[in-house]
Amino acid sequence: MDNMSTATSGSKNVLNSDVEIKGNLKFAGELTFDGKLEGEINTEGVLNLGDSAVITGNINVQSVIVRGKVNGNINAKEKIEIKSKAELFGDIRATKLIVEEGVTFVGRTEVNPNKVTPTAPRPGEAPKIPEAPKPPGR
Amino acid sequence: MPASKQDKVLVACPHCGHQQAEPPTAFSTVCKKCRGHFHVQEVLKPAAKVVEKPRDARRVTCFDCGTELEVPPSAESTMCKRCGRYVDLKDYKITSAVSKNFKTKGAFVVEAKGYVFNTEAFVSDAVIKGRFLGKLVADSLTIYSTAEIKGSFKTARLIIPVANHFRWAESIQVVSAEIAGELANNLQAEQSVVVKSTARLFGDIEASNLVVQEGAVVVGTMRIGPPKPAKA
Repeated sequence: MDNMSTATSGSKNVLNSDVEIKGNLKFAGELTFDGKLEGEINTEGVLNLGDSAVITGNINVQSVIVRGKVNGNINAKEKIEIKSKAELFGDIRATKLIVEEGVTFVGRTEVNPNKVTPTAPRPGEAPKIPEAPKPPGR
Repeated sequence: MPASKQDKVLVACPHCGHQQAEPPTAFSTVCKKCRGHFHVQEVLKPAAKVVEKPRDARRVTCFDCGTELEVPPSAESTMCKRCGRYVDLKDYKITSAVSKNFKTKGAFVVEAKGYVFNTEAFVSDAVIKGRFLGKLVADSLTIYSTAEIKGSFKTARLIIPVANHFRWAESIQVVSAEIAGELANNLQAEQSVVVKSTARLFGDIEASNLVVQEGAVVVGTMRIGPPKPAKA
C-alpha cells in the first residue's frame, strides 16, 4: 500500500473530486478532500471532507468536518462536525461533537472529554445523598 | 339661501335603497319612499369597517374522535363539534397528595411536593417534579430530577430541562426529544432527538434525525437516519 503525504505544515491543501487514492494519507495543516480514498487518514491538522468525498478507512485527526460518505472510525483530538446529508458508518471519538439535522450515522459515539458518569441512579437504586458532616469530636 | 339642486348629492336610503338628492352638509333626513329616518353623513362617509382581529386560538384534538378543535386560549372546556364529547381544557397544578384521574388538554404540573397516585392521566403538557404513581399519557412530558415516576408513561415529546437528570428502567419511545439535562437511557424517536450543548446523553439512540450542539456529552450507539422501508 502506498503512503501519500502533503508537504509544508500550516498550508491549505485541496484534493478534488477527480482524485482517487488507495493507500494512507498524511498531511499537515489543512486538507479539503473531495475525492475517493481507500485507506487511513492520519494528521495533526484539520480535515475538511467535501460532499463528494467517499472514505473507506479510519480517520485520525485534530478536527474534521464531515460531508460525503465515511465508512470507518473517526478519532478526533478536538472536534468532529458532521454536516447535513453526510453518511457515516463507524465509531466516533472526540472532545466535541456537532451533528446537523439530516445526517445518517450508525456507530458508537464517545464524546465525553471529562469522563463523566451518569448522575441519575439506576431504577430501584437509592439516589446518592451526600453524607452529613460528622460532628467534631469531643 | 336654500341650496340649489346642483349643490345636492345623491344619497341612498340604507333601509330601502331609494336614492334622493340631499344637501351634502345635511345631518339627517327622511326617505321619500319608505319614510325611514337616516343620517346623511353616515351614508356619505361610512365609518371604516372595524376589522376584527383574529384572536389567538388554541388547537386541541378531541379525546375520542381526534377532531381538531379551535378554542379561545382562555376557555376552560369545550365540546367536540363532531362527536359532542366534553373536552376539559383546564390546567392542573398538583401541590399535595391526590388520587384522581385526569383527562385534560391543558397543562398538568406535579410540583416537587405533589404526589399523584393510583391515577390515569391523559394530558396535554405534563411537567413532573414530584411523585407520580400510575399511567401517564401526555403530548409533551417535561421531567425534572426531583420526579419519581412509578408505573408507565407515554409521550410524543420528551423534554429533560437543563441541570436535571432522568433514568428509566426500559427503553423510551417517543416521537421527538429535547435533551438539555442528563438522560441515561436508551431512546427511540420516530423523528428528531435534539441534544443541547448542556446535555449529557448516556444510552443508545435510534432516530430519524439527530442534532447535537457543541459541548454536549454523548456516549452510546447511534442509529440515525430515515427508517428503513418495510419489506413487502
